[in-house]
Amino acid sequence: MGEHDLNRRQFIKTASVVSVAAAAMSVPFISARASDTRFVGKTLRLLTWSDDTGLAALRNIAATFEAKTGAKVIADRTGSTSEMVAKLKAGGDRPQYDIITLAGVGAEGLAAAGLLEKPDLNRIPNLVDVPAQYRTGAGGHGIGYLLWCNSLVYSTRTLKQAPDSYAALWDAELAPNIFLPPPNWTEAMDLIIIAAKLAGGDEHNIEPGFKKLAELKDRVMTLGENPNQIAELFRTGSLDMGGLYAPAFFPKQIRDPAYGLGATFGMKEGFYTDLMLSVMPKNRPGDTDLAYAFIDHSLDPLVQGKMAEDIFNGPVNAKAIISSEARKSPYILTPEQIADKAIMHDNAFLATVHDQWIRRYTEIFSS
Amino acid sequence: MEHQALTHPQSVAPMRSRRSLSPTARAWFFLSPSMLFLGVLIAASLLVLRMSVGTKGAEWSGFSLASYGQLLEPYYLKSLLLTLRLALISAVIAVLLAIPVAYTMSRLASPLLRRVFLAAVLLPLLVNLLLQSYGWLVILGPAGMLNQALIGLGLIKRPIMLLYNQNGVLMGLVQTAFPLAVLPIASAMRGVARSYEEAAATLGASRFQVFRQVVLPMSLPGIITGATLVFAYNASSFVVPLLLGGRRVPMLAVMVHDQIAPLMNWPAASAAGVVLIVTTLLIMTLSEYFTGRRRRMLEASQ
Amino acid sequence: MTGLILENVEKHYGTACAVRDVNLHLPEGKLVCFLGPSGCGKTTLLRMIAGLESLSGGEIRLDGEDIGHTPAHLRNFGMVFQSLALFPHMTVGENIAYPLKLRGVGKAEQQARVVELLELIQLQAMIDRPVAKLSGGQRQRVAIARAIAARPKILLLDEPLSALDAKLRESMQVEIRQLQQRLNITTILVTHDQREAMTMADIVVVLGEHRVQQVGTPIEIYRHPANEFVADFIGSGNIFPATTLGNGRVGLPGGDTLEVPASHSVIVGEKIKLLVRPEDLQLSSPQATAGNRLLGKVTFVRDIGATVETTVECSGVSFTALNTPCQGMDLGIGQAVSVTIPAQACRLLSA
Repeated sequence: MGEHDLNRRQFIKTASVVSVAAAAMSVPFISARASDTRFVGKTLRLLTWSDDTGLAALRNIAATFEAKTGAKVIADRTGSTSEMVAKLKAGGDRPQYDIITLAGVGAEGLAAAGLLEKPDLNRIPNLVDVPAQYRTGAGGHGIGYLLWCNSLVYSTRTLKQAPDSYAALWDAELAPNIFLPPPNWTEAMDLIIIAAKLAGGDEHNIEPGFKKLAELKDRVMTLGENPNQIAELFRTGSLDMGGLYAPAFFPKQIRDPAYGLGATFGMKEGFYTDLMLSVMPKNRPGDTDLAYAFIDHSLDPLVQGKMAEDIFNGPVNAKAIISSEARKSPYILTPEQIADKAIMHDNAFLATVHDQWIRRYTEIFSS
Repeated sequence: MEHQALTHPQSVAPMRSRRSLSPTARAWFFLSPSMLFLGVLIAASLLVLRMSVGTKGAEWSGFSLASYGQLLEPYYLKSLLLTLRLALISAVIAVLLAIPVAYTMSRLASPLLRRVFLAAVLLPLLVNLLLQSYGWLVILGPAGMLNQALIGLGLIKRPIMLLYNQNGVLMGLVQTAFPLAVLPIASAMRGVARSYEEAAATLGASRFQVFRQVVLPMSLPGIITGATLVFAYNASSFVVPLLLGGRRVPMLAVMVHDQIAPLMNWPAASAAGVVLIVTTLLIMTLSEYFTGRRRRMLEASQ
Repeated sequence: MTGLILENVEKHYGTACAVRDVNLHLPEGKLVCFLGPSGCGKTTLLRMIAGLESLSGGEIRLDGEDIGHTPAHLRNFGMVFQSLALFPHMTVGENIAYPLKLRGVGKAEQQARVVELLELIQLQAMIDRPVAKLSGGQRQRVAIARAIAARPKILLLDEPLSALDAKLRESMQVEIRQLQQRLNITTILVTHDQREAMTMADIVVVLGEHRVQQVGTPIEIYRHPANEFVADFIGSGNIFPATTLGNGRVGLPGGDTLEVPASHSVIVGEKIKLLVRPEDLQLSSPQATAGNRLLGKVTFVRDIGATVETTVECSGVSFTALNTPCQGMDLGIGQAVSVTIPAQACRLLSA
């Protein structure tokens, strides 16, 4: 992993590996049920990310699925969503995978190219516990399986308490030096909408947002492409605040007091999330029942809870089981917090403005 | 006495029983692995060319010049100009810095010292760019060594921003491409025999005049090669503007990346790539055209 | 004292000695030749005079002024290198004008001097040619023109003709010599080719084993070599051991005796070396030994057309005689023959 591909997910380092290694290697937390023997000896081919989210999916979803069903999961991991899209497109009508987990944009691209099968929601019993807006994405071609959640990141040395509004980013006295997400990330799109809302507009009246963002230009040190660099800038006291940015990018540094790094989801405006999807390509090589069973397993309340604790992302299952220990952490999101504050952007709408917004955002912050 | 020729044909057993290949065929045979490799690379470029006239979602079947039309918008034109400008300035700086290093290297008598020098010059190529960018951060960052030293000396009050702007990118471009400038120049300077310098000295040239009027013009082909390599390498630079520009220096390769992730707009990305390739080739051709005569003159006599 | 004077000049590289204790006086307007086998230090000595090598010891004075540590570019010497080192990025005219340009000479004057020099070397038409387009001999002349363009005090030539083929080399030797005499410029020529030295030099300095072996006119060097090294290096010679007997006679290893010039004051019974040039030996049909005529046997004949070399063994010594074919006697190997060694042709060398 990790030559020069700079997809955001790549920078999530192996922070959580230590804490979960024991769980992964010892007896899986879901014990095998004797009733499920119809998948024994069958094989499921999975394509997921090569970063920690992907690794966590292997530990918490694939490994427990194997234990439960006796099926074998062969996982292929790749650096970025666009690589996954390219891989599947290269396969044409002979795909190599039964399930792919990827970001919404990628799923939309594949669906548009006619490469995806629309799953039958009735064959995924756990979906009943998933709130409607997280059930499907990409026009019904993808099944939601986790929420990528963005926070405001701040220096615990400069700020005595966590900011409770995005307006804090515009407070030059509170936070003289800030960072923002890079233009091509969905986080930047969300930030533009936040700015518009703060300036009295919204996503359909976006101009005030760009004007408001332009005010930040002189205080923006960098558009943080590389989470480790951002953490380093906080450690050396060069940055005071920034966002939108997922704490999942630097869990290790957040746990290390030397970095003085804090993150909060507690903004009164709410926090933005991006739905990550499981998709099923047409003409899959493997068993269809097995693929449905796998997707259903990924939504299991226990699995959902473990994933959330492991990689600081939000569960989609409203009944996800988060341990009382984990509930104390400000970075581990509970289903209640998600139900209360999570804002999901409209991918279909964003797709129509994405290109223009990237340009405007790039132009505003070009040095 | 029977007449006998002093030399007469002898029946010699053929060297090889196998039918021997013609020299041309043998040359092609020798080249074929590299040709195969190059062929794949060229095919990849041609695919890019094809995609650039496709349409989004129908890269292989559609046809449209819209992606090229889009490149005429100020957003891309500015980026193209910025890219060419940074590549050009970085080439000039890299060559200026490389000349003394290359000259010293070319005149080191001890092979050991020369190897040490070469290793020092090549070192940046051995270190992952991502790691290098951390190195830059530690030295030039707002809380880096340089700023701390300057603040400690009372020369500045607030940290000066050396990264996350065009200067930072320029430094990164020069540093990462430095070996590309040094190697051809050093090799050209090694080709300038010592006797030329000595001849100039006996004719009355000071050390500086020798360097300026003999060594430099005679190593011009190497200098042009070095500058062209740095230019071409940096014109397509991606990681440096991404990591040292703080995403605020939109060089064309970064824009290409944005078109692919997350927009999946392969035609737009391909068109930008094609324009970058064509512009770079054009500038390289021009430089060859303007320096070609002198170059051939020098090469003929060396 | 005018001219170039070298006093106790030394050059060491670490513990290795390249030039040892050289003392020379090179008079003005003469062509002096440093002659010696490769590795004898002749080029090093020339480079020290040019200022391209530092002195390890001693002094170099020009017209009374110590120039031993003056940098090369301030010495105002012209030098032609073995490789010629014509600048490939300049035309013929630019090459010749280069030393003038360095001296701040005006453009018009530069041009006039270049034209003058090109006339001298008869390459007027080549002024704008790149040097790569010239033939070997033309380059040679351009290199000399460039070296003398700024009217240097001394012209230094470091084996400048070694890259040319034999025929061109011979004509260039004459050409350079004529040019030097016409310009009356003090010139030092380094060569390992003794024929070249004989053709061109006023004075020959024979260098061997890192030191000066002999200084003299070409004829002196040839006729009166100072020691065995010079005798052996210059021309071909029959050098053989002998013992002095007094009264102008020496004894050969085989017991025969020879009359030699009496002027050599030597101690009786001393082991010496005797030099006789092959062209001085006379062969005749076998006769009894008498005076300087010895009887011997032919061991080898080399007929190379223009000359015939006959090797004869007599009195325990192998002699080679050189004759023209018409003087030849059509000798075969094993034939008996008489060899006459004229007394005045014998040179005694200290062993």
